[in-house]
This record gives sequence, structure tokens and C-alpha cells, in this order.
Amino acid sequence: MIEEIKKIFIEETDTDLKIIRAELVKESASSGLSISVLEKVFRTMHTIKGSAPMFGFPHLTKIANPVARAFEIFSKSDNCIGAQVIEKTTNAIDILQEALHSDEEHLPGSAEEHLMMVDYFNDICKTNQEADD
Amino acid sequence: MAKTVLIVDDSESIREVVNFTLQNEGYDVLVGVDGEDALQFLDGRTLDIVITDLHMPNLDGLGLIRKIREIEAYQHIPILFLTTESQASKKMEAKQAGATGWIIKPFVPAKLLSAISRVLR
Repeated sequence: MIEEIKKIFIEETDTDLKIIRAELVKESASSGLSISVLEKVFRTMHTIKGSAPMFGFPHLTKIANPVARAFEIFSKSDNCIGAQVIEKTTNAIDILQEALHSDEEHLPGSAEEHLMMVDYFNDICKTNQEADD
Repeated sequence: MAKTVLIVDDSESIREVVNFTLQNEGYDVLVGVDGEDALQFLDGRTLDIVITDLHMPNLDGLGLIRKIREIEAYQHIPILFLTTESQASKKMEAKQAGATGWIIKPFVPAKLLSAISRVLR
């Protein structure tokens, strides 16, 4: 039964990641990201953060966590989301999707690449926290 | 007589794990896919406990708790949040809205069952 639920997790997470990736690309080409898309990205990453370890994918949280925190901030602020953020987020989505379909117990790509990605999103959170203080 | 649990989460895999865990322990389980969907079960029927996620589309966990507490039949029903959220401010907000307790995801089934037993005692 747990294996069946694991398959459900992989499928629904993959679908959610595909949806937000498509919406990020689509909306960024027009007038910028809507609150709805920002919130969707936040919720997807937030869900991965809490669920992935339960289904054998604890390594996904390494990226999902900082992206979730950054998009929680974006969804509550008036700041415009730049092209670089969108690019980094789609890169993060690509890594998560690849990890979902791999038997490896670590993220695809190099540790250095992951660290840079995590630092990028953590810096966004830090900058916004300092702005609030 | 079996206790009835309403579980509310927009993640299918989480709903399946919680449902499986609770049914194995002999609970009757009702399932909502988000806060809006869960409202259909607040029709005066017997509910012994509600377990809900926080961040959901349409109607989130906080909104759902407020709606539940407006209904006389459910004003004192235990409501547990089952969520990844760990911020103290959110917990305070949930408590003020009427939440009974908080279980952090990821969770092990034994912890979920123990939390439920504690509030149902």
C-alpha cells in the first residue's frame, strides 16, 4: 500500500511541478507573475518540503525549502519578479523533476550547483527580512 | 462505536497515508481535498475530530477552522493542523482561530495516532 501511495506522490508532484513550470514561463512572457502563480509555486514547494521525506525523497527538501520560503515572500510583496528568479526557479523545478524519477538518493547535478541555488534563494529571503527590520 | 475523522488536505498522497493509517486503527474517515470541499461535511453529522492542512487553495486551513467554529455543533470539536508550517506566529494565529493542536510534516503514523488519541481522551 505504501508503495502505491509513493507512486501517487511521484505522479502528483511531477504534475504540480509541470504546471507551475508552464505557468512561470507563460506568465513571465506577458505582464509578469500573478499572485495566483506565486502562491501556487509556494504551495507546491511547501508541500514537497513536508511530503517528500515521507516517501523516500528527503533530498528534495534541500531545494524545495528555500524556494518555498522565497515564494512565500514574493506572494506577499509588491516586488516584481525578475527574469533571473524565474530562470533559477525553473532550474530548481527541473532538478526536482529529475530527482523524482531517479532511484538515486541524492539530487542530480553537482553539490556546488545545488549550493549556489540554495544560496540564491536564501539570499532573497535574507534581503527581504532585512528590508522588513 | 468507531470515531469519525474528517481529514482535509490538497495533497492526494498525504490524504492516502492519513486515510490508510486511520482506517487501520478502526477510525471512520471522511476526506476533503481543500477547505471549500470540507464544508460539505459540516452538516450536523457526528464528527469526532478534524485534521487539516494549513496551506490549501480555495479555502485554507485557517479559514476552514473559523467556519467550523461558527457552527454550534462543532464549536468544541478537536481540530489538529497537519502541516509543514512551523512558524510560531502561524501557530499563534491557528490557536486564536480555534485550533486544538499541531502536527508537523513530515510525520510518522505513530505520532499522528498518538496526537489523535490524546485529544480524543
